[in-house]
Amino acid sequence: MPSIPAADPFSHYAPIGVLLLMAAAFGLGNLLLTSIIGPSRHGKIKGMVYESGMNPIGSAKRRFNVRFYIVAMSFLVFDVEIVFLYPWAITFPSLAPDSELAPWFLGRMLFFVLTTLIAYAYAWRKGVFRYD
Amino acid sequence: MNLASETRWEDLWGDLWMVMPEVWLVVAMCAVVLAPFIKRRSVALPLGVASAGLMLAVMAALSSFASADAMGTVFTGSLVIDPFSQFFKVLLTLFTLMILGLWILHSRSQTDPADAPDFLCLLLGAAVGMSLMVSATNLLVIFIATETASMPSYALAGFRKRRREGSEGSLKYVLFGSVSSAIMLYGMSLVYGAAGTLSIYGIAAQAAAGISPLMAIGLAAMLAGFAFKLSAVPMHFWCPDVFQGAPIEVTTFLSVASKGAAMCMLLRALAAFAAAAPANGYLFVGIGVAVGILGAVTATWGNLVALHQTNIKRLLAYSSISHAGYMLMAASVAVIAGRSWEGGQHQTGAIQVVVGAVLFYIVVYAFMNLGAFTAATLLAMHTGTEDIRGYAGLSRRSPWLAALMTACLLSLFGMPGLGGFWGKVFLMKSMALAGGAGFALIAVLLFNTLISLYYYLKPVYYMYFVPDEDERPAFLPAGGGLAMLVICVSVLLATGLLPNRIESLARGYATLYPNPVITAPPPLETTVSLLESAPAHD
Repeated sequence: MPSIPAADPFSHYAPIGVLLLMAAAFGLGNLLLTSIIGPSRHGKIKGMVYESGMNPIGSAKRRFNVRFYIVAMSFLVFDVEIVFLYPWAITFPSLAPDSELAPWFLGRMLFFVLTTLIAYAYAWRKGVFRYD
Repeated sequence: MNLASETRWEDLWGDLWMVMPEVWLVVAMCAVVLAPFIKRRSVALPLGVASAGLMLAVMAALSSFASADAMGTVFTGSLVIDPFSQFFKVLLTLFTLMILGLWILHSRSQTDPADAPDFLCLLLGAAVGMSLMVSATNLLVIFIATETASMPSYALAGFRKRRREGSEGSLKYVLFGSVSSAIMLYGMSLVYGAAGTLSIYGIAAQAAAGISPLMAIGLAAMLAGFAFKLSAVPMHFWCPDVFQGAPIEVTTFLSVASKGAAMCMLLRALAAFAAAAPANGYLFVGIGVAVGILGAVTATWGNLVALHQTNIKRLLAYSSISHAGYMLMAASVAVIAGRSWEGGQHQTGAIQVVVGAVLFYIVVYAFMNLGAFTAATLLAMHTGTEDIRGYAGLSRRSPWLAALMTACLLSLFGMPGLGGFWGKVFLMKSMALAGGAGFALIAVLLFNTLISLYYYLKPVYYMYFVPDEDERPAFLPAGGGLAMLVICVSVLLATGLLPNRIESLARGYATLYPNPVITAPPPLETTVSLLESAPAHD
């Protein structure tokens, strides 16, 4: 570890503070620069949804079919699951190769994946993915 | 060198055996959800699976009393298995079984069979969270257990999707719950920052060395989270709306199990603080006084607002708020009496008296509330009203139901001869340990009991003294419901007639796991260097 003066524990966070400042300056600077030097032409077609979106019809406040939300939620389940898998996958190789804890660590993650699969099977049986 | 190599996997398996009640509940949750794959649109199958899981959990919790090896800390000290936690788990799982009975009685016919596994899974999930709550000794586990108990409760409260009151109550519950969780989590972060450890014993030891303002603010914010689960006064607004809108079996479950679990979690934390209290720890007395004032305000407010209620579920909701207040007042004594009882020499003795009294109260409260709600369910099924005025002339139309409901309501008030009376007596006995402050609490309790007499007798008055103007016919309530009522009332009679025996039993179970030896937490840099020196394999 690089030696950091231990007197003030907050000095550890100095690099993070610098990073925050740099990020804010970069973002704000770009916005400012584009508004100053960028050309600006507005139009009806240009103001429409970008590329993959639907063509806007009517008000945005109409009611949507509930299945969109359900699909979004089941997507989130798997999305978040992958977020949890990453740190596990990164720390797993740091176990000793002959460690007797390895099956335990693997088993935990398999159980976690299993619970997600159960949730998926439940949603399937419940008819979440039926669109007719 | 590796952090993980210090624990052996045999130990981890052993830990898993000690949390078998929770394991069975989780297995049952998964099995219930998969039940439609075996038999579609069946209610009996998931119901059987859930009951089997609950039975196995009861037996697992009971079997841990058989050997001393089954008690202790598990998962590197983040959970504690002791007689106190196992007693509550037995009570909780048995109570959940009775809630299943209430569900069959009341909601089964109105529920789409395809939704039955959802309901059961949510109920079991809430039970898992509550049984973790009573074992939690680590701030993170406390938070996760509270959330595990809360999330299914939000969904359960709005389970009848087509009822507007249910949706309204559920939304209020979610909003209140998320705000109070956020406050609690923020408080935990402050406490962790001040103490440098997540263990409540470590925090208590750090606080004994001197409470910094940071830690005081953190502890106060954490108390807000506890107050939400207990529906103590500044955080109680969700309670009546949720109780009114939710199906009645969910209301019963929330009013007893959720509050009981939060109470046990708070007691464990307070006991940790009491055991670490130094001889001149006036700040510790401050914690006790804060909890005591919270309880006194909660009890008084709940009782005063209950006076105006005409809906039986709202009335019982405010009544449950005031009962949470009584228990909070007694719990506050754990910290105060830890010092003042015989010069602070018998701290653990005082804690055990308080915990025993509150456990006894939770048992009695569970049965009297279950009884009152079951009676209200039966009445709502036959008369179609939850309004107290609809109870007119009930003593003629269904004398048994009227008598049993009266018994439950009188026990809630604290009628001598019924369990509720002795529950309050033991609470007052434990309050007396705190000396002068304790007598103030006793005065508040007695005053509140007096107020509560009015609204507990209001339904009784309608049942016995107001003639039924509509001349509605007599009816015999459903056998299953009547049987549950009889069970509840016989428990109340048993606790009312043999109070000493049952109280000494409860006090025996009030043994909290002795506080582990507090070692100073390793400095942050050591942990970081341990992580960095872990060998990388390619």
